Order: sequence, then C-alpha cells, then structure tokens
Amino acid sequence: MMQVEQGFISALSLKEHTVHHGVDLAGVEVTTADGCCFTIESEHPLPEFFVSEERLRERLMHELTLVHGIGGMREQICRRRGIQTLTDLQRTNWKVEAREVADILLNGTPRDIIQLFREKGRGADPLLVGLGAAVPKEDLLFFDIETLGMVHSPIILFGCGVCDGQTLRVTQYLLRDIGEEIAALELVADMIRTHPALVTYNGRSFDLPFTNSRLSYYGERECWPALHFDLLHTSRRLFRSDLPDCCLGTVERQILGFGRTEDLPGYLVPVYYQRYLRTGDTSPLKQIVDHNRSDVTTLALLLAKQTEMMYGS
Amino acid sequence: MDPEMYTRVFPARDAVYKEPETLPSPVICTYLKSRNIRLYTHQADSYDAVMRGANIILTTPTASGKTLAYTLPVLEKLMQNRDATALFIYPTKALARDQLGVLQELDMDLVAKTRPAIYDGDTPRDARAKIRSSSRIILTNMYELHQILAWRMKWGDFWANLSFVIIDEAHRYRGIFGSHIALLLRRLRRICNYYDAHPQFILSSATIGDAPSFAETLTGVAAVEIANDGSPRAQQTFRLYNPWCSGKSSLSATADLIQDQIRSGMQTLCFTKSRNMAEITALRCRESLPGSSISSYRGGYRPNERRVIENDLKKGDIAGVISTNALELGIDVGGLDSVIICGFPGTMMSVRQQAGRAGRGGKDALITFIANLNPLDQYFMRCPDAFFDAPHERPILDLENPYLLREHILCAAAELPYRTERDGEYFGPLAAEIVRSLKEEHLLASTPKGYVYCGTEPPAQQVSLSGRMSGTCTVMHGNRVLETMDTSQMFREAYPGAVLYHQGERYRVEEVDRKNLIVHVKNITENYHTRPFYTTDVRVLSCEKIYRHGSLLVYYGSVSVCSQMIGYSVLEYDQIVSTHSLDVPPLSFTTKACWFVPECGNEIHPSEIAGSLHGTEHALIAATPVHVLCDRSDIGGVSTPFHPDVGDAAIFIYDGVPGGVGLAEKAASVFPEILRLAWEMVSSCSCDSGCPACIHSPKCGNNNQPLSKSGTISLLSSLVNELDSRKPMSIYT
Repeated sequence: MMQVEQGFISALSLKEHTVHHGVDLAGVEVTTADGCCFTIESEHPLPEFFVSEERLRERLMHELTLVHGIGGMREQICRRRGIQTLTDLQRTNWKVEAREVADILLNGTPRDIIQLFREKGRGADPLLVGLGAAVPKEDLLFFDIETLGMVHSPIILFGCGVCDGQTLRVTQYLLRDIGEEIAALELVADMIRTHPALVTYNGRSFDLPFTNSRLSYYGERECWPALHFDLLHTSRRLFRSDLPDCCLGTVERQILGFGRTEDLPGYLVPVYYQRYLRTGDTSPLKQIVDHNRSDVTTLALLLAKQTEMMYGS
Repeated sequence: MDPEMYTRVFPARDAVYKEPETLPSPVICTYLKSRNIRLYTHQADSYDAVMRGANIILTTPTASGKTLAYTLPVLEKLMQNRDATALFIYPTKALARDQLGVLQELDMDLVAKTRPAIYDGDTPRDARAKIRSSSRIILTNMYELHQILAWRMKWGDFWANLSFVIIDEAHRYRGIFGSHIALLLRRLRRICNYYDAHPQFILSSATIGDAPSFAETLTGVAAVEIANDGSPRAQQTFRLYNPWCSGKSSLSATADLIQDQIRSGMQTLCFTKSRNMAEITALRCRESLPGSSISSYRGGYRPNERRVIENDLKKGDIAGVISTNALELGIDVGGLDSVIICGFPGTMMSVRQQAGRAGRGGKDALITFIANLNPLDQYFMRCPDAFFDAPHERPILDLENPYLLREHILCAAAELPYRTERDGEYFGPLAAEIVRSLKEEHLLASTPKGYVYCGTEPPAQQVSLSGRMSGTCTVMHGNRVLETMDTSQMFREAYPGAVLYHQGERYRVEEVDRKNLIVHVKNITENYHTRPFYTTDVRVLSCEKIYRHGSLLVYYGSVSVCSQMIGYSVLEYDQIVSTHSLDVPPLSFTTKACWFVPECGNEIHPSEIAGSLHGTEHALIAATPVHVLCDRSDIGGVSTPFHPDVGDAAIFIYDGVPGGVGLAEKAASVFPEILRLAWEMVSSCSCDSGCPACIHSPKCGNNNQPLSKSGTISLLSSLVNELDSRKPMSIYT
C-alpha cells in the first residue's frame, strides 16, 4: 500500500456524553479547549473502490504523453509502431526523459505523481482518482460543509466520512449556536491532519479554502491535506458531454442512478439555519443534517464509480 | 458697470532647499546626485518626519513635488527592512495607473526590490496571488481595500509587515464619503494591530484648514502637518474675467480665449463644470481652428483614449484640452502655459488644484477664471478679494453616525471577531450599544473569541462607500462601445433625442434600454445640441417624529425625492429653436428629510416670498454641515411657497443618500443651533444682495434665482423668535 505523509495528532480532551441539548437529534457533545459542539455519528455501507497499487502503476505507465515532447500526434505514431508503454519508449530517442517519468510513476509517492500530471496540465485527469482508491482506506476523508453564506459567513455544519473496515462512518459537527464554530473547526482541522487524503466535490475552490479562511479568521493554523481529490473536476472530464451540468445532484441521478426524495436544496440551508437561530425550532436542522450526510455518502459512491470507470476490467 | 477683468499677479519665487537632518543612505544620496535633485524644504522635512516615525499630512500645492517627498523616506525604510510593505491608496484607478510608473522607476533606480504593483478591480485573478506574496508596494483604492480586508487568510503576511499607508488626495475624503473612509481606515488599523503591525500614515492633500486635526479624525492617529513649501513658483497671473459685461456668454468667451491662446502658442488646459460643456467648447474651438490639435477629456472615455490624451498633453503634442474636473487629480500631464477655469467648481480647494496645473517647469503661468451668469460667480467678479483671500475649507468628518457605524462594525466583525473591550478604541463609545442591537437582530453572534458576523450576505457588499447609485451604463454606437456612464448620468443626459458628444463627434440617442443599461446612439452631422428641463419634487411618505423647538415645529420622516424630466430644448448656437416633451420614467429615491412651515409675516413683500424662502433654504443648508458633521453636497434642500402634502409653505432638508444616513434626523434635533447660525451668517454679512458667504449656493439647481437677502433676514429672524417663544400651540395638539 502507498504511504501518505502523516499529519500530527494533536491532543484533544474528549468529554463525551450523550445529550439532547435542545437539539432534537441523537448525538453527543464534544468539548475542546475552546468550547464544545454537537456531533452526530452514522454508519453506512462502504462501496468497493479498491485498485491494487500494481494495477494503478501499470496503467499509468501507458501514458506516453507525460514525457515532454510527446503530444497527441507523436503518441499515435508511437502506438502504431508498437510502443505502448514508457518502458517501450525507453528504447527510443526519448530514453532519458522516459526513464525519469517512469521512475516517478513506478516509485514516486502519490504527490509526486499528481505533481507530474499537473506539470503537464493534467491535474484533473480522472486517472488520478485511482490514487484515491490505492491509498490506505483509513487515510481517506470524505468532506463536505454547509455555510451561512457564500463568503465570510460561518460554517454551520461539517460532514466528515472515514472508512472503518467495511463501513463508512460519517461524523457531522453541528453548531447549535455560532459560538460553537471554533470548536467544530478545531475538530475538523484535526480530522484533516489525521486523514491526509481529502475527497470532496468542488472542495478545491469551496470547502477547503472556506474552512481555512474560517480557521484563519479565528487566528488558528490553516490545514492543507497531503492529497486532495476533487471529484467535481474529474466528473467534468468524464461526464460533461453526457450531462446538462455537473451538479452533485445531477451526477447522482444520472450516473449513480438514484435520486434523493426529500432533499433540502442547498440554497435553502442558510434560510433554514437562520430560521433555527431566530426561533430555536430544531426541525429545520434535521433537514440540513440529512442533506449534508447524503452529500458525504455520495462522495464515497462517486469515488468508487469513477475508479471503476477508469480501472475496471 | 463692474470691470470686465480683474488681474492679480503672484510673483515668482525661488526654490528653498534644505538638507534632511538624518542623512539619507548612500544609495539615495547617489540617486539624488545623479538626477541633480536637491530637496526642497518641505521634502527634507517630510523625509525627517517619516524617518523618525511620525505620521504626516503634506499640504503643499499641486506640483510642489509631494510624491517625491513621501516616496523617498518610504523606500528608504523599505530598503532597511526587507520584509516591510507599504499600501498606496489613490482616489481613482486612473491615478494609480499613472503613479505606478513613477514608483516602478524609482524602485528600479534605487534597486529597492519592492516590486510595485496595482491591486484593484481590474487586476486579473491569476495575477493576484503573486502580487500579494511578492510585491512590497501595492497601489489600490478605497473601494478595493473595503473588499479585501475580509480576506485575511490571503493578506495576513502583507498586513503583518505593513509599515506605511499612503493616502493620496486625502482632502477628497470628506463629508459622509469621508466618514465612511475614516471608519474603513479604522478597520484597516484594527487588523494591522491584530498582527502587531502599527503602520505610519502619510497623507497628501490639497491645502485645507486645520490639516492635523483632519488627518487625525480620518486615520485615528495624530499627524504633523508639513506645509513649508520650498518649491519654486513661476510668476502666476490670475485673471477674473466677466464676459457678461460685454454681453458675451461664458461659452463663447471661453472658446474665444482658448483659440486666442492656442494661436499665440500657449498650451492651454480648460476646466468646465460639465461633460457636455467640455465637449461643446472643444467642438467650437475645433471648428474655428481646423487643423489644430484640441481634445476634450472627461470621465466615461475608454481608459486607452484617456491615456493617449494624457501622454499627448505631457509631450506637448496637443495644443489644448478642455476637461471636466477629471484632470484635476494628480495625473502627471507635465507643464502647461495656461489654465482656464470656466465657472466656479464648487470649492476653493478645486480652484486651487485646477490653477496649480499651470506653470509647471518654471514657465510663467496664466490662469483665467471665467464667470458664469449666476449670482455666486458674479459676486466673485464684484469682490475679487473674496475670491483670492477665501479661507481654506475645513473638511468635516463624523465618526458617530450610527448608520455608518452599524455598517462598518458588521464589516469589521466579518474580518476579525469583534471584542467590545478591545475595539471600542476604533469605533468609539457608541459601538457597544450598536453591537448589542446587531446581536438582537441575529447579525452578530457572541462566541468565545468575540462577536462573529452571522448574516448570509458579505457585509462589505451591502455598503456603498460613495453612496452613489451603482450600475454602469454602456453607450453603443452600432456594435462599438463608445463610452460608459453611471446610471444617474444616464438619467440626466441620455434621454431619447438627446445629443451626446464624444471627441467632437455628435451622436443622437435613439433608444434607451433601461433594463440592460444600454444606450444606442446614431452618428449625426447636424450642428445642434440639446438641453433637458426637469422638475424636482419632494413628496412626504410618512411623518415619523415631530421636534418642538419653542413654538417652531420641525417634522422628520420619509420622503421621496423625484426628478422628472419633462422635456428638452434643441439649441443652435445658444438659441432655442424648438422644444420637445418627453415621456420618460422619473428618477426617484426614498430618503429621510426634516421640514418645517416658515411663517412669512407681513414684513415680507409678497413678491419677495419665493426669494426669501429660497434664501432661507440656502442659508440653512450652508449652516447644517457645521452641526450635523457632513459635507454640503451630502444634503439637499427644497423650498416652496405651497407644498401639497404640507398644505402650506415648506422648507425641506433631505439626505442625499438613498435610504438616508441620519443627517436630516440630526438636523431636526439640533435645528435651533442650525437656525441661529444661519441667521448670524446672513445678518452679519456685509454684502448687498447675497454672496457665497450667506445665501448663494454653489450647487443650486435654479442658478441661485430667485433670492432676496432682506426677505431672508426677516424670515430667519422671525424663525429665531419662534424658537424662544412659549406661546401655547393648541392647534397642533
């Protein structure tokens, strides 16, 4: 299995006891140095998205265009001449370059490989999804946030999914009032540091920078995961021609083949949460929590689907 | 008859040099020597003041070398500390563009490695991260600063190292706009102080009264004034010219004078009061002087077009430019032989800035002020001393306006958790109460780290610093963008049938698409122009409070201010040839106003009533800023012998900003002070029939007509008597 650089685990005083602290949702209150917040746990079946490291590296070795100087045309010529892999390419004039690239693909860390793709302008290549399936499952963190506004407003709910054997354990950190954001942020930052491979949908532009912006707002250290698989970018590559848009809902319905029946549309999240803040009525919260949980479980399904599309037999 | 021309000559003055007390570093000394630069007194003083860590406000005139005065010590400090950063804030994007070159050149000559760069709304997204991380000098404007303060994650390093904040043309930040900026600068200081950075503030300003206290109110830190101008002055011949004495209009007089000066080889810059005037004057000059290079210049031109004119002016390739106040800012256009100011631009600050454009580079300067036919301009013609010896205006700022405080506290809380005990320093004693009410509205939430913004919209986007209606309208000629204008300008100038000018070409407005903000125009060759006429009405929507001052009742409430364009005239050579009616939607906005019913007793002749009401309105508007702490242009007034909603004569004072920012409310509560000041101003004024010191208003929509000074005095004194009378007011209860 591939090794990902490990984040440090900071000391955290967990004071757990089941409560129904005004919020009609089953969960526990977790306390940190800076306060507490409400966590809701749930378990879900974990979809199969395993690719062996050998299979992954072997597949990547077919990518001739990773070598500087080989474009679409040259690649075709090579293939016609029976040059299929980077190993084959080492018999040609590109010997030195091909060897360098092959070395990274066969021995490099996931970060090295992603860096290699990025240098060739292929940072969103769906092939890279395989890396997410090849790292240790325990390193993955499926991550999605719900916020009060588009920028500079608090994050009110963080959904974090981690793999535990054959189950996907989703931990949601909910703010019962805005004063709990700082504690939730600390717990999430810790989660990101201990699970160095982040999986999100549009998280590169939204969930991760937003979370970091809030950490920085409170004067806390930002966190940058070692690996980040943003499935929106790969979805665009894979499905753009088949779908009217690449919203998570559309991908869910058309690609994964199921839809949510009673889902809260994302744009209503701030409205519902504001209603809760003003009235103290907790029923709107339940819908927000359900919506967020579905987003997190869909991330796992989508990673599995994309891996299968790229590496399935 | 008054004389047609009054001339005052200001003699030339030699440069006064001075060595700074702190010796500049060898690299600066070498630079100065290689460029043959000796520092003037004010430059040496500002170098010393900045080097010893003082905040300064530079108030020497235009073209005295202010830029060098502050950039030298700033670069010196930035070379001493290779992490230090500086923020240069300009009032417009165009000025920042102009100054970038200056800073880049100096940076290169000194090898200061500060990589000056512009960061504003036009900076491409992909260039921004690089600028934030590598440029130590960033040029921007207040609107951009207002937006970026919330992005602390991206700007943290820059703020933590911020050593200087340079505010150019600081005198522009006055009135309500200035009060917004004062609070914005407190937000900036609060964030810097959070990173333990305490930047020095350097302000450059036109000459103003009591500059140190203005600087301190604007920035929140004490500053010393540097005013001992040591730059050389060419001889300045300043003429006041009244063309109406010989029956000539100011337009013809201006056009003739420009032509005469150009024929005799003088490069001339002419300032007019409106965009249309600039274009028409340029057109006249071009027609009479074919083949000579004459340009018009104003806001709304495409940036490239403006830059070409600026450069041509600098290189001397252009003989004359007729401009609006757009060229009044410090954009470097080099030396000019002559400046013509057509019509009083509203403040003496502007007059001095515009006049300062002439006589650069040691050449003798000729400045001509041409009077319009309105009482204010004509008064200056009668009393030239009042023009030349006018005291320096004092910009007014208000840090306790609850409307503004509320908006900026919300912004501040979205930038960094708000702590009442720590942040009272920035937002004053009223802040605690405002924070409490914002918490009740669920816009702020109390957290262990302080109050946190918890609304759904970014608060900075809810605040309009300039209070102007946002929105830009595009003028299209076929498929080509001719120019842009803001929406209020579109209302005033782009009605169907209107003739618009653009660099001497005439275009007729064919269609106005108000929904998409597009104006379609067609090129025409006929020689005529148009002038709209409209009426401004104030309608009372609701009366919310009544203030009783003695027996005088002052009402306060919501009003709708509605400008309705009813038609336009077509003019050929200043002669009206036809008039047309117009059916266009009115431009109206809801705001707050205070009003009262003036009792015109028997001592005012019926024919004087309108002039007395009008004069009283002007005097009150002039007195209001002193007690309400705003700029004259932040408020508006209307007087009428009969108002349908009041059922009697009425004088209104309203907030110029849609929605209101508390000015009329405050005016209603301190009305006795305003009224007494207005009465003193008018009754102690020694003029015969009104002057700018009493009842003339520089922004009157009716050209200061009708006005009656004697009637105004009687009306004001009877109003003052009402303040003191205690007679029972049974009819009002």
